[in-house]
Amino acid sequence: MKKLFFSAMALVAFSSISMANTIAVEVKQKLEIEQTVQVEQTKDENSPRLYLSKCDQIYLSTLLKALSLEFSNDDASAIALGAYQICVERS
Amino acid sequence: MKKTIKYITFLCCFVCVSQNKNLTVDYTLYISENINETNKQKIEFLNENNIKNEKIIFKLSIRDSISFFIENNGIASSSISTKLAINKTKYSTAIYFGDDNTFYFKNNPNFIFFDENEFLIKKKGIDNWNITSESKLIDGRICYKATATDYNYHNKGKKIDYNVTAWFCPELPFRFGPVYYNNLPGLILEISYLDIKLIATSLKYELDEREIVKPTGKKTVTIDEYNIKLTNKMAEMFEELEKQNSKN
Repeated sequence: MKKLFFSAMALVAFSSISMANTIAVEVKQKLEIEQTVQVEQTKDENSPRLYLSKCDQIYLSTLLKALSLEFSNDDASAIALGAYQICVERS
Repeated sequence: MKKTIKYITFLCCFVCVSQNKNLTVDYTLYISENINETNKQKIEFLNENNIKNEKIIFKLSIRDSISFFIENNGIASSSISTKLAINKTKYSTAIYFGDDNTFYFKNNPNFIFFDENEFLIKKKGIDNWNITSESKLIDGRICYKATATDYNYHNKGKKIDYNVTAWFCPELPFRFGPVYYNNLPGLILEISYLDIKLIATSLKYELDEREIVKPTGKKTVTIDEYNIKLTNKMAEMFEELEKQNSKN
């Protein structure tokens, strides 16, 4: 009877430890995935390429319109900079 | 005795030439029409931004084999209309010409997605001028006509070739001229290309050494390489603008 009891206890203990290990591994994996996602998000936020302020957007919209009207790169940039500076002054 | 006279004469000539190695020239910009536009939409766009022309003067400083060409009033403080007029000359930032027969200048600060110091752009000077016997008097000096072809990038990588006509004066033994033009056997007093003309309006045999500043940049690129980088960067930024607009 005693043997059976100890065997049952040992089995329960073993199962618990196994489960705990599995849970720990899963939690660790989940944390790693979350961290990776967070790093990617931070990268995106910090990248100047991906962050365009309101004035940057005005600059680019003006530049795009000027280029479509066949202004040269230099002329289009000068006009866009004018629009950008007005935006910066106003905000 | 003859030898001594020859020696003294040579020495006098040498001293005269040596003394004249420093020179400052002012060039005034003339545009054939104030705004030479036929495109109605373009004119409206310019009017919206209140764009008109004004008098613009450039300064060329010469010291021995080096020249430095700069817009006289400081382009950074200029109005948009002044910047557009200056752009017609294909000048964007101060141009340094060194011993290696190459022009050096920084990237145009009007394009804000490059750092102001990001590129040092180099452009080779014209070395295949067609010198003619046609001459005219400019300010009492005989000047000769020379022609050549140059190119520039318009937009979206489109290259434009254009003719350049220069009037140089051998009486002024300097191989320099305004913007990206030199390598003629005399100072260029007048130059015309596209719809602009630059005329020397002041000449002084003196120089403020502090005015010559060799431009610097993080990366040195040729004008062709720079144009590719600019075109790519513009495309990249427009893509980002579209992405951001579609998110909102």
